Amino acid sequence: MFTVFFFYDIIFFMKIKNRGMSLVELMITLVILVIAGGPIIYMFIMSSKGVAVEADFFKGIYLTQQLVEDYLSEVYVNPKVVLTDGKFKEPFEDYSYTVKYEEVENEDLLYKVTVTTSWKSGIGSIKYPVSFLISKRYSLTIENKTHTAWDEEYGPLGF
Amino acid sequence: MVHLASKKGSTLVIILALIGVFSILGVSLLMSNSQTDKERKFIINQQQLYYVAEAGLTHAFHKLKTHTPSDLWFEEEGKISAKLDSGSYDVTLVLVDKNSVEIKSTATLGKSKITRTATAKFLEDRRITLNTPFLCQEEISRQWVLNF
Repeated sequence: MFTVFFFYDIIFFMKIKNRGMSLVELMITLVILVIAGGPIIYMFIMSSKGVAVEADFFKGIYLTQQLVEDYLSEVYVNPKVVLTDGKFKEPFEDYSYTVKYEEVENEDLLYKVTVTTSWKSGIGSIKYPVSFLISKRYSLTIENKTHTAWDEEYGPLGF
Repeated sequence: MVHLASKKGSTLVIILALIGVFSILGVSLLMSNSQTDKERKFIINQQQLYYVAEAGLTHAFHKLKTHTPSDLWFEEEGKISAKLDSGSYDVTLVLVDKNSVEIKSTATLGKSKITRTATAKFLEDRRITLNTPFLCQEEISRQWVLNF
């Protein structure tokens, strides 16, 4: 009974005192939502995209660092080790890398190595390059062997 | 009636308040993203500069390998400088004592700088071998060793 009177009261009020007020409010609200809500939703979407892009980027940076460090630890032990283009192992198979060797000008056996890691992200394809030098001279035997007599008692030796 | 009349425009106020709250949330998210972006750029700069500085040390040590303490070149030629894709390096070499050279490599990229130092030591290893066609022989191996 009370509910019936309550609704009757509202309808009466709208009809007599405030006719169409809710409709006007609703329309204004919709207009504001369309104008202001769009950019806000866009901001949210871009933010969530940005988070994913940054996460991918950090993965790319650390994968590249790991690759370079592994290579550097090997190359001075075994100078024949050459880094070639490839893909990272699971679960990072979306990340691939290319390797470029260039001779450093005016230097013998000194090479510039550029490792470029690339991956597809929410904002397109991203490439991250890291350059460093390696010297093939390190692993070579650079001993300057000089043979001399160690005891004068035997006289000068012929070599 | 009076009670209902006081609610005039309340929906609008509520919606405006909601938009305000969401705007603040959105802006703070964007600011957080921009902070992460700055951090990423910083880490990239630091990592690339680190390898550029290392390249400077490698370059200096590479050159040392073809010299002995008696024919060091850098006192006349000065520092080694070169440019890589992600920055440039300047290396200074200073003869600390008769058999030690201090290498200081500074990598620069814009306003960022990283300096790496190392000491190269010249070692002379004397070995005497008897198992040769000759009565005896002394071998002297000379090499530079890099201590980071």
